[in-house]
Amino acid sequence: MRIVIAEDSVLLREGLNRLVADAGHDVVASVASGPELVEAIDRERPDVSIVDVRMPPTFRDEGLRAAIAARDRVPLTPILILSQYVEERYAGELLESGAAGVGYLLKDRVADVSEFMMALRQVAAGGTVLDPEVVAQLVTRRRRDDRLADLTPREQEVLALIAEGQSNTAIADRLFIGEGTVEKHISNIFSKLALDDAVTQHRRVLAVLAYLRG
Amino acid sequence: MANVLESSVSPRRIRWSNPLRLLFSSETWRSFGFILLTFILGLFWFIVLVTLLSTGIATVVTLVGIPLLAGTMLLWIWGARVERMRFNSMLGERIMDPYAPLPDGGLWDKLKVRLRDQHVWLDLLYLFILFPIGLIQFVIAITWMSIAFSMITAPSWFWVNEASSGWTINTLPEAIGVAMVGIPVLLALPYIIIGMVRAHAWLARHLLGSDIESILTERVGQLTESRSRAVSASVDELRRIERDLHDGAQQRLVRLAMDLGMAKEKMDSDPEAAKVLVSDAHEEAKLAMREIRDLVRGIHPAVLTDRGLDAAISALAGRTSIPVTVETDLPGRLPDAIESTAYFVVAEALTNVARHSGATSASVQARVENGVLLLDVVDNGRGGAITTPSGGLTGLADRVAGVDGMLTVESPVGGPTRVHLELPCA
Repeated sequence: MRIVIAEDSVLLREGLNRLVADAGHDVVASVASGPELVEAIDRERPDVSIVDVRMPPTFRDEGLRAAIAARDRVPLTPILILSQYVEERYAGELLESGAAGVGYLLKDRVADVSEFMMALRQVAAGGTVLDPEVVAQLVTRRRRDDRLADLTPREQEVLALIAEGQSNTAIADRLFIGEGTVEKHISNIFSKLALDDAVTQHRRVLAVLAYLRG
Repeated sequence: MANVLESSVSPRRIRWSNPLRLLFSSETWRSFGFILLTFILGLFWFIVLVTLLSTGIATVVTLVGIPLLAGTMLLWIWGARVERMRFNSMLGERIMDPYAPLPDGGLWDKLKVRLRDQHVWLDLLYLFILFPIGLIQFVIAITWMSIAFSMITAPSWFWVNEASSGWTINTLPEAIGVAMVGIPVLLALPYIIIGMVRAHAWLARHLLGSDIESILTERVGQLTESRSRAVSASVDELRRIERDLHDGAQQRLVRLAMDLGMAKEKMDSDPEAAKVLVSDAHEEAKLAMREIRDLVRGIHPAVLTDRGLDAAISALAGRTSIPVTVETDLPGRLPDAIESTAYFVVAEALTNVARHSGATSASVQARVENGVLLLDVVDNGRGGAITTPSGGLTGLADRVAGVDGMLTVESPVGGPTRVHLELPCA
């Protein structure tokens, strides 16, 4: 894949470069600020961009804004945002720009190399990946919802994993159950929450996220 | 601490202990002049104000009355100002002008501000009672003075002709006796005059001045106290951060470096053992990251800086293990100090809810009314929460006091527990 990296810390930028190069991808541009990122995405049209939230000049949510601006210019360009903290509010703002091809993960997740690379590929393929922490916040906020309370504990676990963007196979592995059982849980969840049972995984994630964000 | 704001200008102190010197001191005669002037001015203001006000009120139905009354008001405000100047120049008694600066705008705006100001009416009251005050003082001073002088001079009267000066004095010794009694009467005169003028000054300070000094004194006391508490709270906070870093992440990093060092040694000789060490190190590193992240978030949450109180509260609610509903009605961003204080109160309250209350749900409500942020954290737990002197909420109470807020905790046994915060946002 062709990848753009936006990260102002040299240490981490070099680390990310090494990580993706190691996995056999091309880093076509590595930048250290928001405006440079928008420009690089416009120029390179990468398969996916890895973006740090905090960058100069503001050191606040520069990366998030730049990502949204870049998606304005290059619609649906896949972006994976990394942040020291994940908050449901930022996730919401990012998903507003179209939930397909976005990822929002804690920086710590980079340490688990194979999971991180999988998330990167999923975002590049137009999927949605959310950090379990964000999903936990979304679910906690919605937990007073009666329909959510109707779910069994197991179904709630499955729901959270769907919202993170996990595939059926991954959910089955995580919960040590068969894929058939996962399918059954999913259709139960969708009927209990009165959602249209979407066929493809991407659309299913979007449906669950739309529901969780109320 | 008590005398931070000792009056910078106090009336000139005189030596009360020496009656003879007091009799010839300038203060006595300045005070005497002051009394005469008070009498004249009191009479003047009484006549002028009664005339103008009655005319104004009588003609208020016509168009003349209103401007006449407004003009009268300006006149008495000016009159009160002259009185303040008189106290200052004649007695060195500084009376602060209590009026707030007038707003920009039309005549009507300015008039409205004045009409709402209680000092305007106190000024009027003062000018009215100036007449009785002046009259009484004048009568007492003049009478006392005449009595004293006539007594002291009794022997001379006796000498000139044998008439009496009001008393029936038949012999020279009697006249001398009267004179002897007259001396203390004369010596008492300055005390009477000065005493009356001081009483008048005291009254004037309360009617013409503002209570700003007493307010300021009290305020400085409060601020000093809350400042010292805030300082010690922040020292405690730093100590806590240092300890957390030292006991947690720092130890983990040491251990991580050790494991990696050993793995490096064993890489060739025992690759299997090296693998175990490396994966241990990996776990240690991730734990250290999480610890530092939580610690930094506890110092100041990024979401609060970026998105404000509303977003930060909902992030807190989202991270709480029980469901928390959030209802906010906030007009955009509030001042930093207000936002962060409110945030930490909510954080602490929700931590307590999750840890101790046994609640199954909680709610946070925040709204701004009349420039005051009102915030409630309520849970359906068992109640009976107590605020210990070392507890988190007590430390927060100091922080809240530091921004002039108020924090109350109601927690009857059996619940519900309600943490209520009020913070002025102006």
